[in-house]
Amino acid sequence: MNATYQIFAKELRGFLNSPAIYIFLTVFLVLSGAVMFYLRNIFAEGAATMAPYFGAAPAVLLIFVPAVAMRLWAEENKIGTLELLMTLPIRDWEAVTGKYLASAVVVVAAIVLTLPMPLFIASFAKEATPVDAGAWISGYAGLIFTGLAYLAISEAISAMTRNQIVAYIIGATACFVLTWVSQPSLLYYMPDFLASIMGWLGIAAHSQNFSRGIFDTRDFFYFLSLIFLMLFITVRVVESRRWR
Amino acid sequence: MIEVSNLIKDYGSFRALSGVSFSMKKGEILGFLGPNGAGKSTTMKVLTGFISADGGTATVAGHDVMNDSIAVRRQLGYLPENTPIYEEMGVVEFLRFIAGVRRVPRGKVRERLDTVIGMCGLASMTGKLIGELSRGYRQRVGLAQALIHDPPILIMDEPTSALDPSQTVEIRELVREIGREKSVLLSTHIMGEATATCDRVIIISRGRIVAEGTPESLVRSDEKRRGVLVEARASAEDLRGLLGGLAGVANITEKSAAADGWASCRAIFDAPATDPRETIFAAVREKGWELRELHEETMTLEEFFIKVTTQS
Repeated sequence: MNATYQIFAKELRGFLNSPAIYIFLTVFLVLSGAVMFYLRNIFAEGAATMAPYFGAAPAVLLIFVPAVAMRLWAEENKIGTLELLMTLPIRDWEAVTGKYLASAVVVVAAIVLTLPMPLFIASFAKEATPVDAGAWISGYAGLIFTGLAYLAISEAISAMTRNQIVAYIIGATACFVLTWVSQPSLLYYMPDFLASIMGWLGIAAHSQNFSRGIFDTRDFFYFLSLIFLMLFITVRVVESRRWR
Repeated sequence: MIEVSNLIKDYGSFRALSGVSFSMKKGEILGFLGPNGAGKSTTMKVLTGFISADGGTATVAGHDVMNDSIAVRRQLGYLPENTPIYEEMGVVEFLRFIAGVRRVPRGKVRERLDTVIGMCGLASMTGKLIGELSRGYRQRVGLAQALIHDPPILIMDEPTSALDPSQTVEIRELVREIGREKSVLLSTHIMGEATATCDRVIIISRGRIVAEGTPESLVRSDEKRRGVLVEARASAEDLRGLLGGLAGVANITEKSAAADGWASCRAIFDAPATDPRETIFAAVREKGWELRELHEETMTLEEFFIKVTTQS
């Protein structure tokens, strides 16, 4: 546990000292605002609703989260510091979780930083259309789970390459594919058995429940298992250096 | 401290190590000498747990490197080739991170930091980022990192490569100093480094150990023939005559003519019973000649190295 904490602390310090991360954060917040107020004209809805935002926010996470994760392992592979790191008394899974937790702090912090938007919307709420606080909280939980799932996917991809740009592009693509395989318009053209698998596999199928205010433990376990699976894959990829 | 037995490692179809066995005693500075691609780094990576071997066994301080890698790593300080370190970190920040991972007790971190910073001559660099340092100082940070937890064993992969001559000398001196208390395994492809710093040298070539011994014993090991260079105040013929009369002389060649009354000859002795230099000195003294050079020409380690790494 000590090793996980040491890696976590080092990576988090690294994020805080990195100018790039503040740029990513700014872009994320600007895009979030654009999605909230311009993409769908929230003022024309006539109701204090966050639904349009929760529907589009995964796309913003898709741009932001792989950028946070791309450095995690690609940089170690490129500079060769992996050899320094993995010959310290650190188990592979401790390094993987330490890095994951540090970047998770960044992702969750970014989502938390969008909170002024719902507060702003709430200030417009009228008695006729009151704020559905439950749905908003559930929607934010869905965003956080989606962000953390994207992060685990992107970390695994980062471990497979020594090039950050490649890690970003492949990571974002992988997140995109895994999100939208459950799109009804896609499922329509699939054979039934495939459609039922894809319908369950896609991230969107589960994150949408959250944004509709449905808190289902199956969605919760879906995200948890997806994250664990991706971290497990990352551990195996980091471990594979031993046998190459 | 290190026992390696019949280590095998394949990279795809390329066999990087084909049965490497050696051992390192406590308090020894052991040099791993070999051309690039011989298997020096691969052996070190196996010992430090970065990669796994495909066959054979290795133990470090009694722990198996495959099954008990974390215990092994706790006993080690390791400086990988080319000193990969986090450039965006500060010198002290980086060393503190390593101390934390290495579980240096909180109360002792300050003291250990001061010790390694002093030892590695980093005092003037503590305010800098590692990325701002010169090669030589980066190397010192790498060394400080390997020493922060005061490990009994230090493994260094080409610690002086890419350093300028004065930096090289400084790092070598540092290694020698460290070697007084610790067991050190270092690799190099520079012969002078092995002779200057190591107690014992292992020469490795194409994944095999081809020679082993002290630097002095290596250059003599298979040499029953010993060559001695003699320069005395006499005529060339007289000197040749004298040397020719000695027991065990196989060949004499004249090196320079007696221009200023001095003559110089090289005599090759075949398996002499005593040190040929003593025999020559006694003979020259009997003649009453002045002697200004009496030097045994051993094969240099370079010559030996080229010989053992190119054969087979």
